[in-house]
Amino acid sequence: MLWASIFLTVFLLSGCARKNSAPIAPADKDKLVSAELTVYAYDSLTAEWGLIPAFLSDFEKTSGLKVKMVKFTDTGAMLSQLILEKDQPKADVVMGLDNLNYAQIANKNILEPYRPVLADKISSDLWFDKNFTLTPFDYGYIGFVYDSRKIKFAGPISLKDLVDSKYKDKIIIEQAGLSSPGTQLLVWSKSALSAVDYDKFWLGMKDNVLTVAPDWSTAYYSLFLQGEAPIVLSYLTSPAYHIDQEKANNYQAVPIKEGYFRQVEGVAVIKGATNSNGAKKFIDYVLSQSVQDKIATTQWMWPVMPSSSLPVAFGQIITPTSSQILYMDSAILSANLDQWLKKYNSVFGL
Amino acid sequence: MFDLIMGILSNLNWPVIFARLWFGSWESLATVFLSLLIGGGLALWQNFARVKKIIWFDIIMIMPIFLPPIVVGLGLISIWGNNGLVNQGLNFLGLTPIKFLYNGFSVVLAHCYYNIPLVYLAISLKLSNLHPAFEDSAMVMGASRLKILTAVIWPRLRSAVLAVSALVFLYSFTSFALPLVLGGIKHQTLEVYIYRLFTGQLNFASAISLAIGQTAFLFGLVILFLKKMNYFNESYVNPIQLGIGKKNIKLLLSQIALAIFLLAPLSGLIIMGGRGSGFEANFLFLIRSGFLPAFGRSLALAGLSFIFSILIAGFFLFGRRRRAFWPVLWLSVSPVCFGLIWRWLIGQSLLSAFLAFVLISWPFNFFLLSSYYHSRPSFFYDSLKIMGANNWQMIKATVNYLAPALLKIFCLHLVFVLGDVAISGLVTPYGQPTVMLLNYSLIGSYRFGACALGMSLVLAMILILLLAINLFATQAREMKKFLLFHFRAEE
Repeated sequence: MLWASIFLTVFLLSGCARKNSAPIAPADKDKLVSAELTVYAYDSLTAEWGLIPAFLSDFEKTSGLKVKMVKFTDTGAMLSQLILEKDQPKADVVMGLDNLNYAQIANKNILEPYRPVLADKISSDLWFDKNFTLTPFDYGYIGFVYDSRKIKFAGPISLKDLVDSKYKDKIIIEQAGLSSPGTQLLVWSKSALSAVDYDKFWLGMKDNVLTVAPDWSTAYYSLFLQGEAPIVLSYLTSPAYHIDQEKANNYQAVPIKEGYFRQVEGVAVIKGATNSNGAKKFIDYVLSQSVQDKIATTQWMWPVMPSSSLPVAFGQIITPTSSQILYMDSAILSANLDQWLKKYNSVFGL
Repeated sequence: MFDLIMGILSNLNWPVIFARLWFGSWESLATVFLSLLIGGGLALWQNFARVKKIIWFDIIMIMPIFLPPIVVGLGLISIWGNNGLVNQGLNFLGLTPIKFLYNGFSVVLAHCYYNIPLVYLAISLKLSNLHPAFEDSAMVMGASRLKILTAVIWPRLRSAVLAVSALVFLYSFTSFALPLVLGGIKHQTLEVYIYRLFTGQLNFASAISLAIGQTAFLFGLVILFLKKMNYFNESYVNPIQLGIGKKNIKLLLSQIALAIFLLAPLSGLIIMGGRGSGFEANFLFLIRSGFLPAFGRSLALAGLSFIFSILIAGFFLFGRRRRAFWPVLWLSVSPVCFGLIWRWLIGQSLLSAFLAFVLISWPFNFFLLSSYYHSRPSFFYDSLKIMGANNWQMIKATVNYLAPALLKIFCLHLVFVLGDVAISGLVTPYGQPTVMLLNYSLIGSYRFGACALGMSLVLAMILILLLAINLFATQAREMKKFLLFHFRAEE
């Protein structure tokens, strides 16, 4: 009897939590500009000192919209929710999906293309596609950050040099398939190295990594900054934080000869959103100068708008030139990522 | 239907599943064994030595049980890591550092950190309700300590040992974060694989199938285990409860050593609290981040969810049939699956967080309450009836009897809710985080020093609250005794 009551309560509550199930006619959607806007984003975007809190109240005042923010522990959980809700989406906007997520979600018909007002100001090599299914708002580069007090790099090295035995137990990486930087490293090595070198790289990394952490926070904060190992997989912009906030120059990025893989993050309208007009306003606002100027010191990534202001510390870190940026076509990613992950898991004995 | 099931099963990576099952089983069994040996052993020693309980030690033992994995992980790394205190000491002595962590044994170490105190509390709670008369009689008749342990104490302690062993096994087997942080990629539980299926491969059917399979496996295992349980009714008058006890220096030193093992990792957090801008700047940053409202929110959630959780535990405790069935089934459910489906169905709100805390905590509260309740004297209710007590007076008497257990359970619940990150991360709404979630979220903004300071402050506040609660309870008992004595004297 009790369990019947509990299930009934859960069922009723789920009904209360859901939006109206009846689809809204397109003509009526225009009337919803002054209504609520539901935004999905991952944790660090919505955290107390993250990007979204920095501009949300201004956006609400400017647009007249009331924003309901739903946060997720990571983009994987966010993707799962979007897929589960595909037929009756609760969200209007999703923010924080990156190029790898785009490859997973592109053919699932979940996002609605929208070309923002300032689209032409964004460099075309940052675009996910010509239809702006996902609109880029910031980008960064995966890299290895090291503590120069404990290890030295005389000059640029090759990615495959990291498997040298002198780096044994000196590297911390994140797990591919569970963590975005970890998966980005998989794709980085695939695009930077030949097939033979790629296999050798991962066999060598298996011996050299001190541990494979589940996420960036654990790798960077719990392990690297505790001094467990002198090299960690992070972003090229991580040293900028230490220079800017801690006045510390000892954290630097390892210069890699083959170049760097770029992670681009985007914001998109959800197909079937109740308030798609409000969602489009949100996307346009994210590309505005006031928001783009905040990205560098909240996300510690590069804003997509070229005229945005950057802290002085960004001038003291590695900024890849166009010839140093590595690419991977999203169709190739989409077709092969699962296979690469399986092989990666088998290398690590999973 | 059959094709659908076969399709789902063929999508699962069976070598990985068996590897995770194997790892989960052996590390859980090792955790149970070590926790019983150290935690249970200490409780037994304390009982044998007839040593009076020390409040500060009990409070320290309560603290680790529900600390968030990041705190425990950071703490263990600061002591046992490659750059930890132990290895720094070895370096200082000119010895080769040892890689203690990032293997299967460090997962066992981390689980023992949580579960040694849990076993100690459960066993000492049970022992405090065993009348020493049987042991004294056996000793007078010439029985050795071992004989007393096996023939006199063990039959009466067995149910508590089996129940807490089942709990420790379940918690270790379904553990998620610590194996990831300290065990590296190879030493992960099945929960992690379920999570990867959900969020990494977006394969919901396989994830749910595996979660159901895991639940059935754990449930079956634990039910077989618990069939060995039976309950003994005992007199609850134990000298140690009355504050009478001897002193034992060796036991005291062991308690201090265990307290150091539990507290030392947490001290690493305090040192990190000054990182970056310094203590003062980090503290002001925390206040501006909404630390105090978040703490108040967590306290309110803890208090309210405790009341409802205890009501549910009480419903099953005083129900007629199948007491342990539903709590054990509930504990066997995959936490990852539960969290993701709960969030999908119920969404994010303070009400959702409140309900989630109630539903997750009640089985644990049930087992603790049940252990204490079933140690009541067999003549408890008969005596009340003979004295003409009505239903309300019987309820009052039961609550009075259970009061010490309820206080301990409340302390554990407080630590659980205040220290939680996992549930809060899933279900609390934007802009209304719980206190530990607020601290944890600072990492993503690179505010490492403020994060560490925030966690240290929460732990300090938990300690102060636990001390205050226990002192208040002691004062209240003394006041009650005084008032009863005073009024009776006047009569």
